Amino acid sequence: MTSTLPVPFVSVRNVRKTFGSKEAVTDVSFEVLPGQVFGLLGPNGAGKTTTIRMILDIFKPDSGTIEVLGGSISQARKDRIGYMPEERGLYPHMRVLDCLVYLGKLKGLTGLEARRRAVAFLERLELAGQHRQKIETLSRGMTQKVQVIAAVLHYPDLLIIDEPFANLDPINAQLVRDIILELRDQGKAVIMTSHQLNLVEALCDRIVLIHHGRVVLQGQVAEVRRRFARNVLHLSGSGRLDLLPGVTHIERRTAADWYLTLLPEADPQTILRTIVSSDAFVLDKFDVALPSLDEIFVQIVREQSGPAGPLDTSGTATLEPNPLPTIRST
Amino acid sequence: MRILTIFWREYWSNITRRSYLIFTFGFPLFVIALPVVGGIALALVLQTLLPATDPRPIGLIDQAALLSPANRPNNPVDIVFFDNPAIAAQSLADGDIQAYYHIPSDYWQSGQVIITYQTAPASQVDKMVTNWLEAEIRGKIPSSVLARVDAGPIITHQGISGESAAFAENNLLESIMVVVIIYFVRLAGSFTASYMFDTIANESQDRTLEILITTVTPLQLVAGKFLGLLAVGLTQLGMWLGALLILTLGAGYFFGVNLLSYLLGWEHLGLMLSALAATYILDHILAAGMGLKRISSGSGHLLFNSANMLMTVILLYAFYFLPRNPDTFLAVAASLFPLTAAVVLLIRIVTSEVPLWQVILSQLLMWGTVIGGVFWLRRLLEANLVAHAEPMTWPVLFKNGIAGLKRLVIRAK
Repeated sequence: MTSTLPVPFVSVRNVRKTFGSKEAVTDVSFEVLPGQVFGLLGPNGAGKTTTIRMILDIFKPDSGTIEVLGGSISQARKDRIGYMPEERGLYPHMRVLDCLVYLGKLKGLTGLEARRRAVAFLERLELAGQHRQKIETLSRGMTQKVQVIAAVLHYPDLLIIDEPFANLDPINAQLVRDIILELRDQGKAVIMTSHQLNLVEALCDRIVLIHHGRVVLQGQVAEVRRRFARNVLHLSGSGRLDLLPGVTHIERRTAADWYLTLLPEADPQTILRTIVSSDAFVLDKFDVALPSLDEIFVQIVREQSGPAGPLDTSGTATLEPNPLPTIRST
Repeated sequence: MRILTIFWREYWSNITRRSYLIFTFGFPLFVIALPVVGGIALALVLQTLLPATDPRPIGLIDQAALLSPANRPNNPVDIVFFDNPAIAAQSLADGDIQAYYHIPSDYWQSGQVIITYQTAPASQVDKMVTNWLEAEIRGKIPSSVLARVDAGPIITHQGISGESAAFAENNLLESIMVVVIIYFVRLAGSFTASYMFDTIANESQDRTLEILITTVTPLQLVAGKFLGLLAVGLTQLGMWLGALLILTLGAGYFFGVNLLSYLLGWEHLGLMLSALAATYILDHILAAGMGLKRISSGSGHLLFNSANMLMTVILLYAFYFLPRNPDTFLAVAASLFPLTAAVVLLIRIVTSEVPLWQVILSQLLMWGTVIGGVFWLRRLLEANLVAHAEPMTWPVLFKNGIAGLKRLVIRAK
C-alpha cells in the first residue's frame, strides 16, 4: 500500500531577496499544505511581507524557488489566490459594493456573479446596510471586513492575509475567523500574518517565525509549544515544596499554583514521583506548562536581537528553551 | 477582458469627477458664452446708463474736399453741410444742430478733424463720421494698392543653408491654426496626465495597486489605465472640438472662411495627428512614471500646471522666434527631441521646408520613445510598486544625481 503526500499549495525553497545592500530575506524555506492555516510570524521588518510579495510574484527572489498551487506563478494561478495586504488595498472614494464588484471582475467573475457574492458576503459580515457607502466613510473595522470580502470573493484556493484581525472587535474577529476556518475545511490553504498570537495559536496548524529575514522557528503549533515547554512544570495543590533534585527554581504564583523550573536533563516523571511520595505537598494537578506563542515569540526575538543564534542547515535556529517570564498552564 | 474592466473604471471614475466636468463643460461654455453674454450685458448696461442720442443733425464743413454729399450717411443722425465755420457756429448757437465737424484744408498733412459742440455727441456719431471719411478716402486709392496695403508684406526667409523657403500665402493662417490646435491638445493632455499621476500615486499609496498587480499583469494594468485616461482626454477634446466646430462654422458663416474644409484638406494633417498622439501618450507615460515615484499624491495638478507653463514657453519660442530662424541647430534639435517635437516640428513645417529625413526621424524617435516608455513604465511599476521609495524632493534628486555621477566616474575609471 502506498500513501501519496498532498502537493503543497505553497513551496518556498531557500529563497533570498536583497534590496540594495539590505538583505530582506535570507534562505527562507517552508511549505503550506492544502487544508492548512499557516502562520507567517515575525516582528516588524522581519521579512514577512517581502516573503508574501515573492509568493505573489510582486518581487522576484534573487535566488531560490517558489511554487504556488503546484507550479510557478501564472495568470491562471493568480486567479486562484486571494490577497489582503495589511490595511488599505481599497479605493477610498468608491462605494463598497462597486469596489467589491470591480475587484471580483478583475479576478475573472462576471459582473452579476461578483455582485451576487458580494451582497451575500456583506450580509454575512453584517455590512449589508453599508453597501452604498463610500469606503472612506467606513470605520476601520468595517473597512477591514470589506477587505476580507475582497480577498475571498472569488473563492480562492490559496488565501494570503496580512493582519486579518487588525481593528476588529471580538465579535467581528469571530466572523472573519469563521471564514478562514471554512476555507480550511474546504481543503483550501491560508497563509496569515498577525501580531495577535493568541489568535494565531487558536487558528493556525503550522507556523514559521522569521526574524531578520531568516527562519528561526517553524513547525506545528502544538509541537512548537511542547518544544519550548520541557523545563517548566505546573503544580496545583497545597503544602510545602522544597528544592528538589533537578529543579533550579520554584515560583509560587497563587496560593495553589506553583511553577518549577527544571534543569534541561531533568525528567518530569521522576520529579512527580518524588513529590507524590513526600508528605509535605498534597498534589491536586500536575502538568507540563506550555508557553504561549506570545512568550515563545518574545523569547526568540529577544535572543536573536543580540548576536545571531546558531542556525542549523535547514535555516531553523537550534534554540535552547530558557525559563520563561510567565507560563500559562494547559 | 480585464483590460476593459480597468479601462471602464478608469474612464468612468474620471469623467464623473467634479473638476473634470467643470473644466470640460465650463471651458467651452466660457469661451463661447462669455463674449456673447458679456456683450449683451454690456450693451444693455450702456443702453441703460448712457443718455439717449441727440436726434438733431450735425454740421460738416469739408474744406479738404474729401466727402461727397451724395454719399452722406444718416444713421444715427442727419448731416448738414456748411460752407464755413462761422455759419455752422451760428446754427449751433441757434440749436439747429447738436455739433459740427470741421475738416480743414490741411487734412492730408495734419489728419485732424475738429468738432465743436455744447454737449459732446454720442460716440456713434463720431464713428459715423470717421467711417464715412475712411470709406471716401479708400475710394480714391487704386484697388491694387489698397489690396497690397491690406495684405501687408510677405516676408521671405532665406537661410544661408538654402533649406528655408518662402512663406506661402496662407502661412499665417496655418501657423495660428497649428498653435491653437497644439495648445488645446496639450491643455487637455496635461489635464488628464495630472489625473494619471494622481491615480497612480494614490493607488500606490493606498496599496490598491498591490492588489491589482496580483490580479492582472503589469501590461494589462498599464494598458487599461492608459486607454481609460486616453478616452477621458478624447472625450474632453471631443467636447472642445465640438465647441470649436460651432465657432468655426459660425465664423465661416459670418466671414466667409471655411476653416473646417481647409483643416481636413490640409496636407500636414496626418503628421499633426501622429505627432500630437505620440506626445499625448508620452505625457501620460511621464505622469504615470512620476506617480510611481510617489512625488506626493495629490500634487498632480500643481506639477502639471508647472509642466504646462514650460510648454507655454516652448510654444512662445515656436510661435515668435522659430519662424524667423526655422533651421537653426536648436530648431532642428527641438523638432527631433520627442518631448518638444510636436510643437517645434509642426510650426517649422508651416514656416519652412523641413527636409523629409527630419520629419521621418522625428516621428520614429517620438513613437520609439512611446514604445520604450511603455516598457520603462512597466519596469518602474514592478520596481516601485511596493518599494518604499523616497519622496521625490529637490534635495533627494540632487543627492541621487550626485550619487549617479560618482558611479559613472568610478565606472569610467
